[in-house]
Amino acid sequence: MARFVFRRLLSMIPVIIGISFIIFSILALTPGDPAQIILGDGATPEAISELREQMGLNDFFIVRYIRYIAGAVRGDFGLSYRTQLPVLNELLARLPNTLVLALFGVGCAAMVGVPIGIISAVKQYTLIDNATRVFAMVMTAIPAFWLGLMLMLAFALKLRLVPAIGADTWEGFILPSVTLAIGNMAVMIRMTRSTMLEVIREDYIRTALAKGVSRRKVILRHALANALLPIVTTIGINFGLQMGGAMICETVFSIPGLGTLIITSVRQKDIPMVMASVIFVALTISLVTLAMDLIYSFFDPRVRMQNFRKGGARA
Amino acid sequence: MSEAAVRGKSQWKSVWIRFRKSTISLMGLSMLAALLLISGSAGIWIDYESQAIQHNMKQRLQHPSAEHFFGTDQFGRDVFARVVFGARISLLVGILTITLSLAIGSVIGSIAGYYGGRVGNLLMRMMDVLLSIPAILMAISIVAALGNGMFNLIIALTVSGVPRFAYIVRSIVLTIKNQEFVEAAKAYGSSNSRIILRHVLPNAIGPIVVQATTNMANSILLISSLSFVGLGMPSSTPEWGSMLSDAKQYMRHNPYLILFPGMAIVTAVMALNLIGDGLRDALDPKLRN
Repeated sequence: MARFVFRRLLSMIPVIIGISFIIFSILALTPGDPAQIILGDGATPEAISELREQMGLNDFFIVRYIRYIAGAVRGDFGLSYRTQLPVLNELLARLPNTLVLALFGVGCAAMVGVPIGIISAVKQYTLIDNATRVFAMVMTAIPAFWLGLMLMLAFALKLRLVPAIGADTWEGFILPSVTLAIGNMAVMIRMTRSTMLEVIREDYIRTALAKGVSRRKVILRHALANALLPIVTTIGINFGLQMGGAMICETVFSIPGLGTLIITSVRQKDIPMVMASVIFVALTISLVTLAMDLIYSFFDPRVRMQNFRKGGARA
Repeated sequence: MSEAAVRGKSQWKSVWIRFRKSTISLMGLSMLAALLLISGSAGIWIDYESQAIQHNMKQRLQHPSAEHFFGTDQFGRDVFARVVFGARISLLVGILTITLSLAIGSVIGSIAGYYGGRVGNLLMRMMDVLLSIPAILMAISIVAALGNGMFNLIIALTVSGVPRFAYIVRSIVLTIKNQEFVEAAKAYGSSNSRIILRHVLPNAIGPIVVQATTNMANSILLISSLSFVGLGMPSSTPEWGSMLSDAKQYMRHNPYLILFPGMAIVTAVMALNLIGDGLRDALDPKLRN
């Protein structure tokens, strides 16, 4: 087991290098001299060239990349152009808000979406099923930020039940979390429904029913147990989308998270901040995907046998 | 006409017969057709400059009426005109993005699948990495580096669209390249590029079209999301996302300002999703008959 986990972690390294290299290369294309940006318009050419030398901007691209990664491994993501403070501090201060939003969004969506998906599959083509499918279809087409605006208009501005913006109190998180959860729920419902529909047509389900096992037990013990794996994978994949959705939602509700940080940093041309945040979010997503992969192989006996067979750890 | 082309035609005919059985897919198709028709002909019956661009402070923030179907915004511009011209931008950027990602993705996927080997492996590992960066982050990084505007937006969306097409084309090339008709074409002396273009890619069209509709729906969502946070189209352009962003501070007393552009996004995305679902079912051999 430990060996398998270790192997999967090792296989992450090329992905991490790839992600950071692509983001680094893209952002290196940014026009404008960082030294000029930091020193402002009034700076003398001498001061600029001195700062360039000091920041190592005259080195080859690949040298700068390696230096950046070497720093990043030690937790040094450079200084913000805007505040001249370490980027990592700001990042870590903002991270919890985004994580809370994303986790709450995924959690709520799974808790509500999976049962609805099961009911919809079991009662295929009934009124409940059709209503659920229409709901899911419409919800996947609604952009999170528009849903957020509509909910804000209804529940914060008109009904005054919750605050419209800000993260000062826990009530401020209600609307953004619900916004994220609803969009995600649609995906969960669709996924659960289609997986369950496939599973309940399997021979072993018919066998169980023929043996006289109650329908309820067959659905919960036989069908759901087998349908759960693809559902877990969807939750993992969704977490990535959720981070993206959370970033946009933060803007709607003015929540100080990674999303608002990235967006304001892009506007202010604060490249080190953008770089670190983007790499950070991409890595978080890769790690979650990896975790889901491990959970998957832990729970699926077929995959488990392959991976944990004596001596033969396969990634 | 070659035999492959004839067979291709009859295949599409049967796909269409199966597609049209589903009312809901037809609904999607008519929604998209309506959007294309209205936005395509908008230049004829709406004056872009005076209705959608020029400020007209005397008429600002008017509620929907017979004169202004969707009301007017904070600068007195007609919201209906802006929503209609917004469709042009979203559809245009969406179509250009899909075409570019498809072209580049097909080349990469074909090379990786047909020739394989080290180059193929390297290309697909690059695609893996691109795919592991969420589209929105990739787009934000590219906009951060290049600045916003339509051209850069297309580049940003294309880069994140390429890997999916590369994957599809590669997997189909892999299943097809050893089949007899490809062997026959080789024996005939057809060049590799001819085999890929004439024999391999036509077989990949089904899954590609399905992916293209989904991708286009996602592109439309991304364009509006980026414009909403101020990283997409410049705010004077009638784009759905930037209209919503402008409308945010007026929505309390003028809710129609956020209602209509949002509904436009939902309509476009839903139409494409419905078509995509319908095509997927129509192309699925398991669901035939």
